[in-house]
Amino acid sequence: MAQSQTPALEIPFSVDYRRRLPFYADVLRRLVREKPLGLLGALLVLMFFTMAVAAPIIAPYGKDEIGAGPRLGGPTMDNFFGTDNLTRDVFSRVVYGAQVSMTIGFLAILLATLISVSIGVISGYFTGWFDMFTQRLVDAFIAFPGLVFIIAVSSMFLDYEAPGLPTSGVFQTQNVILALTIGVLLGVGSSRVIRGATLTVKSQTYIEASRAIGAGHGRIIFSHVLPNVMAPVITLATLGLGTAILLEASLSFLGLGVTPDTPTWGGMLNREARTFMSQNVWLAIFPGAALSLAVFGFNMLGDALRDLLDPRLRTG
Amino acid sequence: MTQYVIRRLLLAIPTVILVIFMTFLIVRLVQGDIVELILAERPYADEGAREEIEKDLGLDKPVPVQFVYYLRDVARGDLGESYWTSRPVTEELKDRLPVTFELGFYAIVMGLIIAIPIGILSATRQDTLADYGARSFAILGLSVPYFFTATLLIVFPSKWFGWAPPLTYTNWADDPIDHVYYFFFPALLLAFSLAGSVMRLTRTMMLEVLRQDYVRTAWAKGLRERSVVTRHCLKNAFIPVITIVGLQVGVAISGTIILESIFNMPGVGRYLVGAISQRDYPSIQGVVLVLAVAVVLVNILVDMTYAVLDPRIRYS
Amino acid sequence: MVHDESSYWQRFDRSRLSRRRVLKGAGLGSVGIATASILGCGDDDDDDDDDAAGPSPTTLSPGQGEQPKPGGTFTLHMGGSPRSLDPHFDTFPYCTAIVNCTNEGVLRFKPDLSAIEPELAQALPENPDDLTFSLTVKQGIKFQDIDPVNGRELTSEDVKYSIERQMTDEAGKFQHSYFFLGAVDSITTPDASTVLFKMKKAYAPMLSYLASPWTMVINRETVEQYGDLTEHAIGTGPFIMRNWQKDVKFELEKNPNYREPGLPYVDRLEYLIAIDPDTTATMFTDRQVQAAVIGSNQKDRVKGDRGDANYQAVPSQFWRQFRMSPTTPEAPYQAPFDQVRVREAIVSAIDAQQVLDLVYGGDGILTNGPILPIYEQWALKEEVAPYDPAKAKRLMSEAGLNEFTGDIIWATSPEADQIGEILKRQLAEINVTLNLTPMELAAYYNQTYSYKYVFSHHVPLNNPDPDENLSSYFGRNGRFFKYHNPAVWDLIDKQASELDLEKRKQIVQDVQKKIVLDFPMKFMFTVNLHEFTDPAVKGWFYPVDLYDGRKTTAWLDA
Repeated sequence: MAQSQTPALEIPFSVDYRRRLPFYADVLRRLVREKPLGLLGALLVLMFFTMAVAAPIIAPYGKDEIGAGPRLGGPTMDNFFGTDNLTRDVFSRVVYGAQVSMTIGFLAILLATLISVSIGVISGYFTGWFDMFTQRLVDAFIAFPGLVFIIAVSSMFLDYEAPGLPTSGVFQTQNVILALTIGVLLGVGSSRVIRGATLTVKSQTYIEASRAIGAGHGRIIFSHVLPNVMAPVITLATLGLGTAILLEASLSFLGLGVTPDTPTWGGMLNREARTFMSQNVWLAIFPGAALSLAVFGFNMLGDALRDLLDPRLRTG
Repeated sequence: MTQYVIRRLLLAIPTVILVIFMTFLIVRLVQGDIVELILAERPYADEGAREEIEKDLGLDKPVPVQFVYYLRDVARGDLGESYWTSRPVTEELKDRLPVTFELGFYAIVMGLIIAIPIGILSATRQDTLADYGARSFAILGLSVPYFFTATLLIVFPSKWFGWAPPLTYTNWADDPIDHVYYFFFPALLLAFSLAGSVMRLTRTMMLEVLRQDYVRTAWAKGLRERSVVTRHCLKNAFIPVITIVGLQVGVAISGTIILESIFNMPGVGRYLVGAISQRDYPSIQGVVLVLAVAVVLVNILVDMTYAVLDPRIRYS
Repeated sequence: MVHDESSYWQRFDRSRLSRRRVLKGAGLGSVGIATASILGCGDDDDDDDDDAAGPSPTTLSPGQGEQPKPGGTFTLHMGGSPRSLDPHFDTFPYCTAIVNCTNEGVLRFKPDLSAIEPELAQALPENPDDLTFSLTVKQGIKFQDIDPVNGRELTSEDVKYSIERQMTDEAGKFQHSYFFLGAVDSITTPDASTVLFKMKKAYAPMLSYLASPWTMVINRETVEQYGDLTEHAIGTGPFIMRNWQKDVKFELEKNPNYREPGLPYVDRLEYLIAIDPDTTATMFTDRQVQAAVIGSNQKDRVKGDRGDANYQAVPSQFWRQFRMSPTTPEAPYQAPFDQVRVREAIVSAIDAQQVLDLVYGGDGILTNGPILPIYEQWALKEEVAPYDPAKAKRLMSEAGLNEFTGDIIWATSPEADQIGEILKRQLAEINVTLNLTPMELAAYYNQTYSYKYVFSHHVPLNNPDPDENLSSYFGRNGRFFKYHNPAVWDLIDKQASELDLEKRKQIVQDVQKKIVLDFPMKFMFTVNLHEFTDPAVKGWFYPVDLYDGRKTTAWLDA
C-alpha cells in the first residue's frame, strides 16, 4: 500500500525551465487535490495575509487605543479577545500583529533568499578555493550563536535613522534592520541546501554539454542552474517564513524585538501576557494561538510544496 | 578513514578561528561598554579614570593587538578574566557548561524519541488520517514557541492543580532522580520544538527508501510490512537523519538561552544573557567560543558517524 | 553649633521613630530590646492607618510573644546572583542580602528604616563638637571562626580599616566612596575599642552612612588572603557562608560563636536564586521557598494560592522618573528646553497616576519630588507640579511651540515598555512626539551616563538619607545625573552640613521645591513590592529592598 503512492512522488528532479509555468499551475492543482494539510496551511497563510493587508478594516479599534473596554476584561461581543491591562482591544492588536509578523517575515525571507541563492549557487557552481573559503565562513556563522549576532547588529544601529523610512510604525528603521538581521541569519544557514542542489545540477550532463558548446558561466547559471534550484528555494522560503516569524517573536519575548508602539504577537506575549496572564489567561491564549497558527500554516504549506516540487530535498 | 578524520579536523581549525574573530569583532562593535558601566558607579571619576580602567582591562591597546593576545591566551586554554566578577572565565563556565549540554542532550534525545516513530508512521501511512494527525502534531510542536509553553507550564498547573515543575537545580551527586526530574520539563518543551524537523526528514527519507528497488523486491517476496520497514528501510533511512542532529545542536543551544532563564537553570545560556547586558567581553567571547566549538565538534562527529554507517560515502 | 544635652543624633533618631509597631517580644534579641528602649518613645506623627499598602515601610512581626523554637532551615528567594560579596563594592540587593547575614556594621537601620541603632558599636556615636565623632566598639566580639580570621576579636582597627578602605576613588572599586571621601579628614584609634573620626566639615549624613549596609565591617586578613572579597563573606554576623553554587543557591550555617548567645535560632539559611517573576511566584506558591518578594503583577495569584501566608506591600526604593536632558555649565538646556515653560508644559502633561493605574493597577505611590514619601520626614510635602493638561497646552502655545519630536530611551522590560507607550500617548496631547527607543540594559547605561539624550525613563534608587538622593543627582558633583543649578547646589551643600534637624528638614523641603519648580524631570511614582512569608516563619519579616534585615531572630514553627 505504501507502494501505491510512490508514482506521485516520482517527479523529475531537474525540470525543464521552459515548461515551468504549466508545471507550477500543476503544483497548485495537486496541492488542492492531494495535500489537504498543505491546503490548510495555504488557507491559514492566506488568512493572516488578508489580516495584515486589511488590518485597519478588520480591527474594530485602533492598535493602541486606550479605553477600548475594561481593564483586563475577558472576551465579550465588544472585545472578541478581551482587553489588556492598558484597556486596549486584544483582537485589534492581534490583527495588527499580523501586519508586523508578515512584514518582518517577508522582508527577512527576501533577503535570506537573496543571500542563500547567491552564496549557494556561486559556491556550489565554482567550487575550488572560493567554495572552500565561503564554506568555512558559513560554518563559522552557523556555529555562532544567533542571539549575540542580533543584539550586536541592533545595538549598532540604535540611533540610526535610515533616510526614507518613517520614524515610527512597522517600517521604522530599527524594525527593518531587525528583519534584515533575521534574514542574514536564515540566509547563511540555508545556503547549504542551495549549494547542495547546485552541486547536483552541475553534475548533470546537460551542463557539461552547454559548457562544451561554449556557453559562459553567467549564461549557464541564469538559464540552467537557477531554474533548477527554484524548487528548494521556494520550499526553503516558505518554511523560513515560519522560522522568521517565530524568531521575531522570541526576540520580542527577550525584549529585543520590534519597538513597543507596534503591536506584535511576541511583544504581546512578553509584555501583557507574561505579566497578567494569571489574571486574564486570554491575554496569553490569543496572541499565542495566532503566532502558532501562522507558523503552522507556513510549515504545512512548505512541507506540501516540498513534496510536490522536490521530494528529495533534505531540509530539517 | 584516518585521512578523512584528519582532513575534517583540519578544516575545523579555520572555522574556529573565524568564530573567535567574529566574536571578538562583534562584541567590540556593540554600543555600550564595561568602562561606562564602571564609571557610572563612580561619583568622583575624573578624565583620567577612563584611561585607567581601559588600561586595567587591556582595552587601551589597538584591536588587532588585543586579538593576537586573545588568540595566544585561548591556545593556552585561558579565556581571560570576567570584567564583571574578576573571576577567570574558565572557572565561570566550568559548572555551567555541563548544565547546558545536558539540557541540549536530553532535548535532542527526547526529540528523536518523539520524531522518529511519527516520521515512520507518517511515511508508511502516507496521506492517511494517521499521517495527517501525526504530522500536524509534530509541526504544531515546532510552531508553538517554547517560551510560551514554558511560561504556561510555570503558571497554570500551580494555579489549578497545586503542582509545579521543580525550579531549583539539584546536583547529580546529591540526588540523581531529582536531577533528571529537574531537566525533564524544559528538555521536553525543547524536544517538541526540535521534533518537527527531525520528523520531517525521517518521513522524507523513509519515503525515498520505500521507493527503492530492493524494497519493492522485499514487498514482492511477500514479506510482512513490519519486516520490510524494520529490516530493509529503517537503517538506510536513518543514516541521513543523523546529520540533522548536527544541525539541531545549534538550535538546541539557542533554545536553552530562553529556557534556562525561565526554569532557573545555572547554564551558560543564562550566563551569556547576563554577560551581554554587562558588556563583559571576555565572558561573551568565552561562551560563544565554547558553544561554537561544541557545534563544530558535534558536526564533525556526526559526519564521521555518517561515514562509518554509510559505506557509500567517499572520504574525499 | 554644639548641642549640650542630648546630641543631635539622639534627637534625630527620636523624631525618626514614627512607626506604629515597635518591634518587641520574644522574637527580638537583647540588642533589639535595648534599642527599642532607647529609641522607643513616641507614636507622635503616626498619622496613617494600618493599611499594609500605606506609604511607609512597615514591618510585621509574626510570632510576637511566642516562645522561639531553635533549629531548622529557613529558605528564601533571591532575585539574582551577586556580582561580588564585597559590601563596599557591590551595592546590589543580592550581595547585600548575603552580607547582611555574615557581616555587621557599626550601626544599622531598624528594619523599617525608621531609626538608626548601634550594632557593633556600644551606642550611637558621640559628637563632642561638629567636627568629631567618637565611637566605641562593643567588647569581646569575635569574627567567625574560619580561615583566615579564625575567630579573632574585633577591634577599633577593623572599623578604621573598613571605613578607610572605602575612602578611595580607585578605578571600579567602591561606588559609595563619596560617603566619607569628601567629608572625613582622618580616622584614629586611641585604644582597641575607640574610633575617632575627624571631619573636614560638619556632616549631617554621617550616621546614615555608617548605618548603610554598604559600609559594613570586614577584616583585613580576608582581603589580603584572597585579594578581594568576591567570593568570601567573613564577618562577625550570625551566619557563616558555607556554599555558593553559582546561579543556584547560597547555603549559610549558624555561627556558633555569635555575640548574642542563643542566637540565631535557625540552624541554616538557604537562598534560592530565581530571576523570572513568574518562576519566583510559583516557587513560593509551591512551597519551594518560605519567603519571597513578589512583583506587583504576580501578587494576586500568590495571594489566591497562599491565603495562609504573611503578607505586606511596601513601596520599592527603586522608583520612576521621566527625565529631560541633563545640563552642565558647558551644555545647558537646548532649545526649546531652555524655556522653563516648555519643561513645565511637558511635566504638567504627564499623568503619573494614569501610568500607575494602567500598568500596575494603581499599586504604588506617587511622589512629589526627588525623595520618596517612604521617607516621611524628608519627602516634599506639597504637590507643586501637578498634572494639568490645560495648563500644559496653554504653556506650549505661550512658548510658541507647535510641536516637538524627540527620542525617549529606557532599559527594556515588559513594564517599562508599557510605560513608554502611555507616556507617548499623554505627550501627544500637547503635540510632543516621543520616538520610543527601548534599549537593552548596557546600551541604555551607555547612553544615559553619557548624558546625551532628549528624554529618558530612569529607575533610580532612593535611600534613607536625603543627602544621597539630592547630592548625587542634583548636586555639584552629581554622578548619576547632571544638573546645572548653582543655587540648588549651594542648598544641597548646606543641608549636608546642617546639624540642626529641624533646620535641615526645612532646607531639604526648600531645595526639593526649587528643583521640582525648575522642571528638570517629572518625578513619577514608585511601585509596591509584595512580601510574602510562610506562616511557619516567625520572628522576622521583610524590611525594604536593600536593607534585607538580619535573620538573627527568625525562627521556624515547624
